[in-house]
Amino acid sequence: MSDIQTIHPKDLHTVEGKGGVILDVRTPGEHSDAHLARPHAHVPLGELDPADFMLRRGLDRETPVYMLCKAGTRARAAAEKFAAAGFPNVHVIEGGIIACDDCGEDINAMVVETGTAAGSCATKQPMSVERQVRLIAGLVVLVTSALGIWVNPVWLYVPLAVGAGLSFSGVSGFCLMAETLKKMPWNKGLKQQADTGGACGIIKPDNIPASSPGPGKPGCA
Amino acid sequence: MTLKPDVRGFFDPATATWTYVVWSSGHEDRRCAIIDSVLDYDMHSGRHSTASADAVIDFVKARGLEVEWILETHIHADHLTAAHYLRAKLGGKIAISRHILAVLETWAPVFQSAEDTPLDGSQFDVLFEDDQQFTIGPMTAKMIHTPGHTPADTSYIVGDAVFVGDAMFLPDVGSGRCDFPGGNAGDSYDSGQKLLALPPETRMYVGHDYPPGPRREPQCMATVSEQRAGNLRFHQGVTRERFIEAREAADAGKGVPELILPSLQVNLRTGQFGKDINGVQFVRLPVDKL
Ligand SMILES: [Fe+2]
Repeated sequence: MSDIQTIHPKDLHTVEGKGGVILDVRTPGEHSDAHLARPHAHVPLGELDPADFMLRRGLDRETPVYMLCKAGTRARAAAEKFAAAGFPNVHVIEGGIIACDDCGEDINAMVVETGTAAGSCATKQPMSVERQVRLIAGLVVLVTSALGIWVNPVWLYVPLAVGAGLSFSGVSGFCLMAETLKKMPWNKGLKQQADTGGACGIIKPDNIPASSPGPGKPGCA
Repeated sequence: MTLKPDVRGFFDPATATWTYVVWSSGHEDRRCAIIDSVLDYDMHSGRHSTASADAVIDFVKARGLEVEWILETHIHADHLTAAHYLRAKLGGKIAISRHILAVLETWAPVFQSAEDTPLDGSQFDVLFEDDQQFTIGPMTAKMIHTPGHTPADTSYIVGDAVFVGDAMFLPDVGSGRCDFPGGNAGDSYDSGQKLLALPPETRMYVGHDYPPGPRREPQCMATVSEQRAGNLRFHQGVTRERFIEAREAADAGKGVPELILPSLQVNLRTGQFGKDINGVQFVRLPVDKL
C-alpha cells in the first residue's frame, strides 16, 4: 500500500506516538520565518532525496513521514516523491502550516501568517499581529497622504516615514510596530515563541532533562 | 552478498546521542540488537526519566522485534545508559568489550563503589573478546576494538553497517575527544585507520552528532568513502603525528560533559543507580577526583 494518506492538523499530536516524523519541505526563508514548535525535520522540496533522507536520519522504510508546506501543494509533491521511491507510509498535512496555525499548533515565529486553507479549523482567533500592522500602516498612509494632498504637503513626510519603516522591517525582519503591538493587552492571548523559563523555572517531569549540549557545551567530540 | 541490516536511529537532543535498533526485515527471524541506549537524567534535580528508552521499547514492539542483544560501544561519560531498564522490559543480553575491566579498575576507587559495582564485570551478561564474532538473529556480527576516546571503545560490524560509538563522528564533526582518563590520541588514530579500511560503501553509524551549524540537522550515517574523503580529523593524507597534534590541541582546556560523574558510576552498573540507603538511591559526586 503506497497510497498517500492525509492527516488533519488537529491530529498532529498523534505523530510522535506513532514513531513518525514531520518533514517541512518549504524554503529555508519560509522555515526561519515560522515553523512548528514540535520536533520536525526540514529539507526544501528541491533538495529532497527520499532514500537519502531516510537513511541519514536513521529512519526505516516503515516509518510514517508527514509532509508539511505552506498550504499543502508542495507537501503532496514531496509525498509523491517518497511513494515513488517505495516508502509505504507517507502522509500529507492538510492545509499546511497555515491550517496548523489555525488549529492552535504552537508556531515559533516572528510574525505568524494567517489565512484560510483546506483543512482549516476556522476557530475564531483575534486578528493576527501582522494584519494589525498592515491595517494600521494602511490607515496612516491613507489619512496622511490625503491630508498632504488637500491640506498641507508637510503631512507627506508621514507616509514617507511609514514606507521607510516597512522597507526596513522587510529587509531586517524586525518590525517595531509589530513588537509594540504584541505588548498590547488585546494581543496577550496570541501564541508567541515558547517561554524558555528563567533561572527559577521549574522542571516539568515530562520535560527531563532541561539541559542540552548546545553550542559550546562540552560533549564527546 | 553482504547482508544489509535495517537500522532505526533515535536521537536524544539533550545529549546529542544516537541510539540504534538493528535487525533484518527480510527475515522471519525478528531478533534485534539495541545499541547505546539513553536513560534521561537531570543533573540539577537528580530526577531520571525513561522517556527516551520507552520510545525504543514502543518501536521494538510495533515492529514485532525480539531483543537479543543490548550492546554498549563504551562506558559513556556524557549520558546514562538505559541497558538495565531495557533488559528488564524486553529481555536480551547486555554486552560490552572485556577491556572495560580496565575502566572499572580506574573508576572504582574514585566512586568507592565496590559494594554495588563488581570489578569482574559480572554485571554485564557478556564481555566480548577482541574480534569476537556473534550473531544477531540471522545476521553475523563482529566486535572490533577501537580505543582512543576511552581505553575500551568497541565498534560493532553488522553486515554492511558499522556502529562506531565515539571512535568517529560525521565528516564535519570529526571524532571523539581523547582527554578522558585512559584516552589516547594515538590509539584513536589507529582505530580510525581500522574503520576506514572497511569497504568504501560501508554505512558508518556514529554515537553522537553535534551539527556544526543551525541548517545542518542531526544525522547518523556517512559511508566509509565519505569519511575517507572528508572527515575533519581523519581525512585522506593526515599523518598520525599531525592527527595527534590537532587532537590534543582541540582537547586542551576543554570542560567535562555535564553528566560525566553520574554517567560513569551508573554506566559501570549497566545503568543502575546502585545500592540504596533506606530506599533512597544516590549519585556520588567525588570531590577533586576528575
Ligand atoms: Fe562517549
